[in-house]
Amino acid sequence: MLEQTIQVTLQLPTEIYNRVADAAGHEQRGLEDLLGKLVIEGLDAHLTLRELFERLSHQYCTRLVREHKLDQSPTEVLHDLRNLREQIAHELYS
Amino acid sequence: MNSIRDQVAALDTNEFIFALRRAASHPACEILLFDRLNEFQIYIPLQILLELQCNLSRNEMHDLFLILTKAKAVTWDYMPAPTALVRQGESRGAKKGDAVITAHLESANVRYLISENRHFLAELPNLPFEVLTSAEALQGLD
Repeated sequence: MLEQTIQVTLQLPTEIYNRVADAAGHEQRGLEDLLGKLVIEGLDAHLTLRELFERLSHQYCTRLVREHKLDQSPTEVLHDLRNLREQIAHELYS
Repeated sequence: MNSIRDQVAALDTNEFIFALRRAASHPACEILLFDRLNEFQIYIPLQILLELQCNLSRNEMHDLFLILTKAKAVTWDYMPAPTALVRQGESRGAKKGDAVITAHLESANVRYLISENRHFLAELPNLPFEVLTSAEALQGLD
């Protein structure tokens, strides 16, 4: 699903623009993309710890609903995590 | 001082998963992370990082990384656990995965593991760290 976007014109001091352009080049991403990310991160800085976690939790649970996994019981969740732990450990330390 | 407030604690993967699910069965996981994370010095070893990566999407991991910077202190340990310690744990009867977590915590000298999985206590006696549930960890703060 595509997010609705609004185009804005932004005026920046040359020095700031150059810093963003350098960072975009360094991260191999578009200038607009990086500026959008920086705005989001700036807004996030004003959120409380709970608000940040609630947003992440909402995102995570929405995905679990799509994957039909949100109704797993706590016992099933722990069981799956134990299996995953063993699988990763066997792959890394065989 | 010897309380969880002053010591580094590892957070097990199940703490993150139950908190993000906002599991009614484990309300303390949500409180610990959503409300009290900034009072903990946390340690995330490679094994738990990989488990989180398997459970969370790339964007979700990115957001989690940013949120965890709100902890009092956070250490991401990208080094594999010492193989000798993993073998030692297995020889004492632990499953390989739990032996890996034990080796990580022992080598990093971490005093607490916060986990809803009590198997650690049953599998390995005389652990070099204390296993607390999220509810017990919260009690330790108050």
